[in-house]
Amino acid sequence: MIKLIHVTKTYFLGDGVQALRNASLTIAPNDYVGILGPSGSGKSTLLYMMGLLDIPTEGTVIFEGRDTARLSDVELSALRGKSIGFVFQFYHLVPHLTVMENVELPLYYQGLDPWERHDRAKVQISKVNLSHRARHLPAELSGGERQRVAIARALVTDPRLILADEPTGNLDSRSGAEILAILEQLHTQGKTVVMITHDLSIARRFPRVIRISDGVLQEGSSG
Amino acid sequence: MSVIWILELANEGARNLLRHKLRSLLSLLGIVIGVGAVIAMMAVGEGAQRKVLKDIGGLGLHNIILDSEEPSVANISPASDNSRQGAFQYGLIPRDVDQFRALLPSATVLVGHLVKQKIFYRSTRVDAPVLGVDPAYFKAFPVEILAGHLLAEVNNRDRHPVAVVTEEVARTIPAVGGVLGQIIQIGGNYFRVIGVIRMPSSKAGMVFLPYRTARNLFGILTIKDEAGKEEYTKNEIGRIVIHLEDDGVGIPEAAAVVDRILKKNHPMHDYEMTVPLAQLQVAQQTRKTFDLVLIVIAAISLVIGGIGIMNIMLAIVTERIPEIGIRRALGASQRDILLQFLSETVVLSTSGGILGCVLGVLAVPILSRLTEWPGVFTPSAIIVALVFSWLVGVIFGIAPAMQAAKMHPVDCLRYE
Ligand SMILES: Nc1ncnc2c1ncn2[C@@H]1O[C@H](COP(=O)(O)OP(=O)(O)OP(=O)(O)O)[C@@H](O)[C@H]1O
Ligand SMILES: [Mg+2]
Repeated sequence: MIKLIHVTKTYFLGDGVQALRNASLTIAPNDYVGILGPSGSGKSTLLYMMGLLDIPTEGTVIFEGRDTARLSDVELSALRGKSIGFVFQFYHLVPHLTVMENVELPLYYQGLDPWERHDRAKVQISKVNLSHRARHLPAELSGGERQRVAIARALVTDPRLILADEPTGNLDSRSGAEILAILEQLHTQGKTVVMITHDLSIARRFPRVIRISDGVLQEGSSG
Repeated sequence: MSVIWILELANEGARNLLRHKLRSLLSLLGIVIGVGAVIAMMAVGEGAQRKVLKDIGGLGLHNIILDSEEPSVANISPASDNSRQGAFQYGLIPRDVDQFRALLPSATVLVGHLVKQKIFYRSTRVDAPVLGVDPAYFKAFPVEILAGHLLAEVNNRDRHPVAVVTEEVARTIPAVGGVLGQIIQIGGNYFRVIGVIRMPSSKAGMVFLPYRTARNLFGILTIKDEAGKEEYTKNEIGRIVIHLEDDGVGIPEAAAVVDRILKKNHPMHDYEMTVPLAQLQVAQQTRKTFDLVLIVIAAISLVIGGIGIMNIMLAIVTERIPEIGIRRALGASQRDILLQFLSETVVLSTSGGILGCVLGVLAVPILSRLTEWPGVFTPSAIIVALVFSWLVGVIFGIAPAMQAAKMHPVDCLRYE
């Protein structure tokens, strides 16, 4: 699905920070992977790299067999829109759009008609049990509800890959468990799921865990 | 690029702007006032132009009009001896007419006898110039008969005491059932009104008598009674109209000939020469200058308006950096982001243009009242205003939109 080959990401600010050092990694279809590391270790950087949002300073990112360095902005954007669903720690909902409009947003960039977007978003919102909240703004929802909206938005395009950056980091344990259950279910439905966490107890639930510290990757099993 | 897609972009832009109504409105002020001012000025300018053209057209573009003018006392040198029998003589003379006829054979030279007498209808004073004319006089001007008929050859030959008045005069005569057939009194003589015409002349209108009637009844001597001292003035010909046919000698050439003759015959310059065609050219030149000034004002106000809009868009882009990151993660390309912000700017500037048009349309009645020029809207002015405000949106929106599109998605997502 994704292959990182000797990827290095350097931020040339101040003394220069190497957020990723010579990272190589392969994520296979239907993998269920946890990425574990302390704060500032480069987890988000790695996720953005896999999500085609960032470009490596050195090295190659292969997405479904294609060298991403050779793709144009429009092609990369289309790949992000169609094949990848993002879930972020801080939900990243557009604050002035309703739940419905937030969930419709990825479909807009795929050029779907308004009514088709609406139908598909409606189905996805009902799957996360938020139909009664469809017309609300994100600010009117609880954290757990917001994260469910974010998941609905990530899934509405039926992507093959789900990338989640500490999706439970801002939630209480019950809401967090709900989110984890959804991700697990997605994995059993055949999706590829990669999730970041700095919580060891959460990482234990993944069959495959990649540890990261100071931008260096280390493959390891849970535990 | 479907219609729905464009409508959605516009709708989204409008919604975003409506979330900050006051801010959006303030940012529009420059463009609203600029467009409004230009629309109003164009309407008033057009109205003024039409009025001037109508006035000039009323004088007849094929005519050269000469009027006798009493020179001011300062102009009369004591040495000049053109007073006969104690009366001071001034103005146009038969010799002028003869020379015009000789040198401009293709022209019709018409003579008017100016009667300097007061007009009354019963006890109502009517204030308008009185001119004795040949029936042919009316052929030289655009005349519309509103009631009755024009002066006829027989009225002139037999010196009938009849008059034709313009509508302005007719309006000041308080006769029940119209002025036609009524008797008016001019300097002690009575005249029956046989026609009412529409003919651009002086603001007060004009009263026309048959030439021979006027000349016979009133003569060429005027007695002015000023502070007990009687003053006699003599004026042979009040007005000369030189009417040129299309295929004859051109107006400028004829005017030059006329000017030369008059300068020779009238060293005191006791006449006034009007060439409507020349006035028309002056008016058109004036209009061109006015238009140029207007274009400069429009350009300046659009640039100022555009900067106001650009300023607010830069603030909006900064404000929405996280949103840009989210949209990029959800599949928006740089082009999508560019179009999103550009459409917002265009919606903003176009609403500015529309508001400006409304403001301009509302301002015109006020301006018209102040200037006494009618306001004439040309639909093209509104279309041009809208197209330009649209263009301002595109031109001044491109920089903020590019800035938004070029932002790195990861930087946007990490922002805050
Ligand atoms: N734009 C940037 N400029 C400079 N340094 C940066 C930038 N973005 C990230 N970094 C640095 O790169 C390193 C990795 O950051 P990253 O966000 O990937 O860490 P993380 O593991 O996700 O941390 P956290 O758990 O706190 O989210 C950090 O040291 C961070 O300070
Ligand atoms: Mg992080």
